[in-house]
Amino acid sequence: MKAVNILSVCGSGTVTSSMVAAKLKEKLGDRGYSVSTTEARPTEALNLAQSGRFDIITHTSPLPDGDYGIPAVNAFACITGIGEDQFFDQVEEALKSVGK
Amino acid sequence: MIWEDLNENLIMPDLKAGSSDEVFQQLGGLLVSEGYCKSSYVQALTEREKDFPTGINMGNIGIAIPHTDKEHVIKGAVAIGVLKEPVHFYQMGTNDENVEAKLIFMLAVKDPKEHLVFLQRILMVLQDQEVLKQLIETKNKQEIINIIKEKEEQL
Repeated sequence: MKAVNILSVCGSGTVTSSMVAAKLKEKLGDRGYSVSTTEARPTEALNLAQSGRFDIITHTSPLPDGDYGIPAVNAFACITGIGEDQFFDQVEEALKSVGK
Repeated sequence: MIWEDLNENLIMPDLKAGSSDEVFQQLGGLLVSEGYCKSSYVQALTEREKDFPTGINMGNIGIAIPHTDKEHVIKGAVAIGVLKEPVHFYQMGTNDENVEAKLIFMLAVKDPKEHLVFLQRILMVLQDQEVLKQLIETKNKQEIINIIKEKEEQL
């Protein structure tokens, strides 16, 4: 299992980011990843991303402009279930792009 | 299981509202009067919705999952509203994509970590088009709970 840290961002920093985090753990687990997540609000995202603790960001609300330094993937498909497989493909690609 | 935690007092099967604000007042007001949320909850929903919309086009059916910060919540609950006429929301993650919501799942979340499984199951229920169709057609509180129960038993 490859250990990865994902920053999951949503408007309240709680509800949909937690829903996405749970899915990431389950589905990426099937793909051989051991996933740790941190849930955050958009306003907290830039500082957390720049802390160097995270491999990628997933988000259900738009991220404020800034230099995040790590790949960000829109996770809305995770909420609707529509296009979910493509979402996990994108996440996997993003993880590979940072050497995970 | 979600259905075991649903409360008939928190279900409005024939909700009449002309705007998202009216939805928040009625359904959110119910969460307040039933003791699940503080009186600040309704205003907090309204403010949060402006910045972070919660509408979702689930296939052909518009829904919304309004919720707000945990400091306005006393204990976790879900209030369900089926709208008589659709109400306009914006799609989550956008400020210009329209959602005509027929079904409202209003979430009062105190501790998302504790409710992770619960939140996940809500998503699984809402992602089923057939279930959504049944939910917006019924006018009966107990039937709403039964539809969710049946779906959960298949999961």
